[in-house]
Amino acid sequence: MSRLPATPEPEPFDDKDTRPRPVEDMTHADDLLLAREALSGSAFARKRFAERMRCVPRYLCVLNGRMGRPFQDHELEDLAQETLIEIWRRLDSYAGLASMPTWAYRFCQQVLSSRLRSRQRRPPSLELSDADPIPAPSRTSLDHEHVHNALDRLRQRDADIIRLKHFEQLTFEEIAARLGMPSSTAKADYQRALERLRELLGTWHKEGDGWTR
Amino acid sequence: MDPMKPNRGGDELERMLDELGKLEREERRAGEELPDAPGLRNVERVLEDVWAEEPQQASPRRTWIYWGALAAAAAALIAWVLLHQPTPPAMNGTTGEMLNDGVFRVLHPASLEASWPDRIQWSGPEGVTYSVRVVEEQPAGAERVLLGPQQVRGFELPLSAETTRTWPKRVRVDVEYRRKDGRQVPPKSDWWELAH
Repeated sequence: MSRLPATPEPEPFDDKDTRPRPVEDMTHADDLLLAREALSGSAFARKRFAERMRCVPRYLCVLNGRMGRPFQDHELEDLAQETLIEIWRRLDSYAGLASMPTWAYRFCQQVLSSRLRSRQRRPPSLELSDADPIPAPSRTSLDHEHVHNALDRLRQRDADIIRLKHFEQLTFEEIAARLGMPSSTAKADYQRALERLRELLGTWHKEGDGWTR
Repeated sequence: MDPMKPNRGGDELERMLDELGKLEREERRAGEELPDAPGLRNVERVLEDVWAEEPQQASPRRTWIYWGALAAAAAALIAWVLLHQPTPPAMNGTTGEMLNDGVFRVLHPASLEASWPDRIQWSGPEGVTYSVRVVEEQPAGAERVLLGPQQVRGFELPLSAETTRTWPKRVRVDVEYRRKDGRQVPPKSDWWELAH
């Protein structure tokens, strides 16, 4: 996500502060500052960032359950590590539009889906028995991944507006405030973004239980 | 659900996005309520490992110290260079010490009172061998060689008192050299005469 100016600036993190705000009470602006401070090397901010990222293994666990448990626990541990590294590598793109856990959730979805796709492309292993088949992903998860892929193909601003509207349930006034624009512009931009998403999804079609191009 | 289908009582795509958003919120909430998950205990360690592999980033204060030290070192180096510039070769020309400016000529001694100088000096191109000789001019264009010719790869020829002891009061110093392309450069001459 691109950095946007509408987020109010909170007080800087202070490692001498004896009463730090609990991570669950942090606002988006807090998260944005936390990201900046962590990237700049603040040990205190990095500690708080690590606390904030404890959601990652939990999200992966829930997503794995929704997909029909294709991954075992040791594989989920690997995926958690991979996701955390990817989140840290991309942290400079975090713009504070959504909370940091919400932002991290998308990485969990992407890493999990990517690993699942690569597993499905692999030839069947002789080590796998009939008693331990790879569960097929549910129809719902495929549809969701399809929409998420389409969202990822949109321009950043378009995807931001759609996510803020439908995933964060913000009103156009709230979206406008967060993106630093008039609400009429937010509404018009949203309609355009929706049309682009519709066009993108239109290049795909349903085939059986899944979507293909 | 086909997003390409025409709307019937509302936009299907928007409804699908709402469903997706709702599902995600439920999944996030469910995740946040999980007491444990595979890899949960390793979150800090994984991130600390990543941070440990990063090149150390300098704090703003350390950055200022670094640049300050660099500026001081640069200033010290410049000062040292200015104070230790190579001393130009001393040549006793008519106006005192001179730099070799590359112009081929014999330098006239600063003082010729009662004794000959202790060296013959000249300027000219570097990297060539000069031929130096001292003669006494005689009537009818004749001359008597007092010294040389001596081959010198430099810009001066020392003169001992033993050498100059027998010289007359007036002598001519000739210096010549061969260019790198082989051509002989005509000699430059300077006439020295003792006052007493």
